[in-house]
Amino acid sequence: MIGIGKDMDRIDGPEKVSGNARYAAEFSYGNLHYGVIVPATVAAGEIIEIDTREAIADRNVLAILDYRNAPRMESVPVFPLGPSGESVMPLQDARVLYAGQAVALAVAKTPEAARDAAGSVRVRYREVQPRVMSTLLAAGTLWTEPPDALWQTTDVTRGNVQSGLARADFLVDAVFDTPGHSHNALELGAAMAHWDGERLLLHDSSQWVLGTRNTVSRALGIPLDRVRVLSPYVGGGFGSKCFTWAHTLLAAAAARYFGVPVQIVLTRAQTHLAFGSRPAAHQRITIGARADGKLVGIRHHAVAQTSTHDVFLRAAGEVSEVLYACPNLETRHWLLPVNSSTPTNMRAPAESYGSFALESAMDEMAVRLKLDPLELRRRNLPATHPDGMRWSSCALGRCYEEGAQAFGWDKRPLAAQTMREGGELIGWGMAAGTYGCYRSQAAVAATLRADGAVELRCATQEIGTGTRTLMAQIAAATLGLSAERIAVYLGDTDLPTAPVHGASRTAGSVAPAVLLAAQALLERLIVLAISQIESPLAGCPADAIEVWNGSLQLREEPGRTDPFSAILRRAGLLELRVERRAGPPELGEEDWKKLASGVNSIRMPKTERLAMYGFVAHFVEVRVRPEFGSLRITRAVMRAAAGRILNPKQARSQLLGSLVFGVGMALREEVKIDPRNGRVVSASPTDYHLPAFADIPQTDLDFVNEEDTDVNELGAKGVGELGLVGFAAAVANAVWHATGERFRSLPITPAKLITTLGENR
Amino acid sequence: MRLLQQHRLGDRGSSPGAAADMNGFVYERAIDAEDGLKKGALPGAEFLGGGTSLLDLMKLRVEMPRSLVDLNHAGMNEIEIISGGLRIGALATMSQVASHSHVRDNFPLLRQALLAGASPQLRNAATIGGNLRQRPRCFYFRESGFRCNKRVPGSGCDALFGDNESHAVFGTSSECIAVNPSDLATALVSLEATVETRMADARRRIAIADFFVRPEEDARRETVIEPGELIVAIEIEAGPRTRNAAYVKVPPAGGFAIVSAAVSLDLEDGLVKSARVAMGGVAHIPWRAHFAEERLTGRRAKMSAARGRGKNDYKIALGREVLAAALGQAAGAAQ
Repeated sequence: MIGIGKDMDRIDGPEKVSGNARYAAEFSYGNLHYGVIVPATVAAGEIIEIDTREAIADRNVLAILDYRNAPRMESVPVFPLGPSGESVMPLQDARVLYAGQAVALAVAKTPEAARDAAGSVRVRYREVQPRVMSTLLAAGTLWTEPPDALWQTTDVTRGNVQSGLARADFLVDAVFDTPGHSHNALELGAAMAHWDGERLLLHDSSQWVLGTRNTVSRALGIPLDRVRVLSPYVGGGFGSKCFTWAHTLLAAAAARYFGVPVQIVLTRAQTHLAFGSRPAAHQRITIGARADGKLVGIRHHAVAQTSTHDVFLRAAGEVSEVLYACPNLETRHWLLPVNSSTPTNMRAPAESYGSFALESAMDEMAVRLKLDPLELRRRNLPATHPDGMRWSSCALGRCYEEGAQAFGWDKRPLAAQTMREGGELIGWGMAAGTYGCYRSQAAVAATLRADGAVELRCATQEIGTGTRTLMAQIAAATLGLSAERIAVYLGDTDLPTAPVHGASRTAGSVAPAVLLAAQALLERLIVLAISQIESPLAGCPADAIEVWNGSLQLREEPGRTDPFSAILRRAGLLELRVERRAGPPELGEEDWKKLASGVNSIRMPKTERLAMYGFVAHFVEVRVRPEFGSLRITRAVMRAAAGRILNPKQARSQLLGSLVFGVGMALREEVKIDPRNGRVVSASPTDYHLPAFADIPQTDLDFVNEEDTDVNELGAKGVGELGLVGFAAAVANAVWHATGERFRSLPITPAKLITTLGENR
Repeated sequence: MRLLQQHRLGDRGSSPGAAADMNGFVYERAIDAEDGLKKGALPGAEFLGGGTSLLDLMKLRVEMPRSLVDLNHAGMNEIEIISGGLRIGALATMSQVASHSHVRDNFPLLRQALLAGASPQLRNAATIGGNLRQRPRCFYFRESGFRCNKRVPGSGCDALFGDNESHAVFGTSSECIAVNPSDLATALVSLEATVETRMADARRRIAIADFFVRPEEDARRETVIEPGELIVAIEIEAGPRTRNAAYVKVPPAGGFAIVSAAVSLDLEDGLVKSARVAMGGVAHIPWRAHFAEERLTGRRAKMSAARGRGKNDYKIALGREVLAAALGQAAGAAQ
């Protein structure tokens, strides 16, 4: 039997590796047709002519849809107001808002014919100068004379940052640049739409089936109950599949228009162009500290890219609010609208780059103070949330100490350029990170079958994080069953309500509902058994009964058992079904209705009385060959505090995945935009460098002990994004320690290393 | 690929005319070189080796052949030892050549360059002939809608003032600054290999130095290979320089060369009698670094003719270092 808190293998692993798990593009219906999107090759302007003659010459091609003949769609707002990736619906008018935007859709009987047809569509544009972030920032006057184009958004203030900084003995004031990132999940964006009478069946690679249902329903004017969205397996999402994008809407619209099932799978290039991305950001941080290392002020200003047509805002400054006991704080956020697809969630959306700025600046402060960077952090460890509310739990200090010990941090020389081996400079760097504990409501149905096996049902998604396994584990532990006796059904809008699979909230939202449903099932069984005259447990007090291997058992008398199946049989039941809803006390019936209709509702990490966050500390070793501009990360120690770890094996796997993301962010990944035409010139694996196995260091990743009785019934915090927060800063800090040079712009490429280090040789 | 074949053959028949609409093509399998040459002589035919580059370019509509002549069942994949030298069939895969015992024992530069390229899966499929004919990875060339003299002759070059961090610093012209992506080609220039080709009625032996085309000569193509001309083998003679040789690449693996250097030395009593030096990642062709060969006295070679375009300026400093490292390794191999 499996306990909560024990390592457990993925229950769907065999299905996945044997190819039996079916993903969105692997479902097929009779007469399936294929759609291929024609992407715009200019970034701003309008279409003046579309020539489809060559494209429709092939008899396998049904038609080319473009703004002149495509079905009309209603605009659906973007998150958090709505579940759409963009508010501008595809193929509705001649405007071109970004390169890669869908300007036409070829629909054909074979994938090849559709692809050929899409490639043969000739589009002429009237092009206007696009808005490009690098050009808008290049003037260098952003912080003195913000361009009118900036959209100002949120401010957070605490104390008086100006007077705090004025009293500082030491100041660090630095600017940081981070590029856009593309998600690059293994499974491409894919949708397959099939009209079954008046009901639309939509297979979509989705992190939010209820959101997709809502978007499609509103855009196409179909009642919610006539749309069913299925997404039982998702081959990675990282945030790119939280919201609904053009290809899903077009598959549904084309299927209705042509009366045939239509499948659209994005190309890898298209996932770089019209599938969201992490926005590029430009940040300025000012930190003030007293001579004893106590922080007296943090000012964190961030400008992030958004599209010209939507607001996408995530708060880079949140890490600065949370990580340090600092009485004076100001965070401000602006958006810079550019001609791009609307940015979207990507693993630790703004915490990733916000922490790069904050944690790099903290390292610079440690250098100013001639203080060990870990010691600087110890001196500013927050006993409560810096705004005053109690932590639900905070083992950040333990992350620091256990991580430092595992790494051997105490042997680190304070000065830079002090360690070398062969031709390589060696540096050690560290950084901290935090990620909020978000929680939504969720419902789970648990059904005990006549054979004693249990089925769990929930609309939540399995995006590779192990949700299916976690659900089975909790039910198995509660009901005393082996995991093989639990079947989990998810990723289906017909199942009980669950939130979007984002913001690391699924374990903390869905797992408690599993627990409550399994407990309710158990209570029902006990009530049945003790009232059945034929039961060996007849007349026993309910609280004297425990579970053992698919049976109820009298705790004081092992062997006096009654199998679940026997209890059902005696009761004349074919199955026993319960459904339970779990959620935080802050959310009520209105929130539930929103969630069920496919609109986000969420409890934020900070309430009036309580602050709920996960924490992490990173320790990294790098080796630099300055003359080759080569940078290797050779060792990484990560210690995370995330409450109760439900399945350590899967949770460590999330830390490892975050580390790989962090390596990409630090060394490799960059969405490149040609400033002259606003086009992405990195939309291929050749040009957008993902980390390879050889880039991944020796790792030591683990959790520290932390108990939390507030976040949810299980005391578990989310772990999907936490490990990325701060990692890139730890790398950059290690590079400083190796070379004496501070890299404030990511990624740290060979070109940057050679250029910077060469100047000083 | 299997899907493509089935649909093409099933849907469109096998006459080239029927396939001429749009991006369709006829798939034909050659049973030997003769058969390949015959089928490859038709207008619009392209030879298919491992397909690791050509099929990508077809999907991008950079290449739109009317027929594909599959050479994978046409032989020409033997590796022969001739007077200590090598004759490598054009259809031998990168993996086969890299793991061949004679290559391993006697041609360190060739082996290092092969193993520095691509990934094991790609090396198992990619052929030697195909490797030499692979086209540049320049984004402006591969994606439609950019000005590119390769893709649309006379349209200009968007890389000149665009994102050219990976582009050429040697032998550049305003026609094209894409780089040759092949590690193998760089090694073969240093080893002074010969490329043997066949046409329907002729054979050619082309010195590797004459095999690649400079952009100012003709930006549309990278090699002197004519339509219908088939690479049948590569020959590398054994000589005094073959063993004292090394390949150094940045990055060492897992990507195309930012800069690489292939060095072959003839050493006598520790002194360099002669050298052949080639650089990769720096020019439209694998760049024979005559300047370095002439100045081989252990000093840092001067990158005399290099010209950066802004974002790729760092390649000049990097090239100097990579060259020095390769020289050191090649000289070290003698001890």
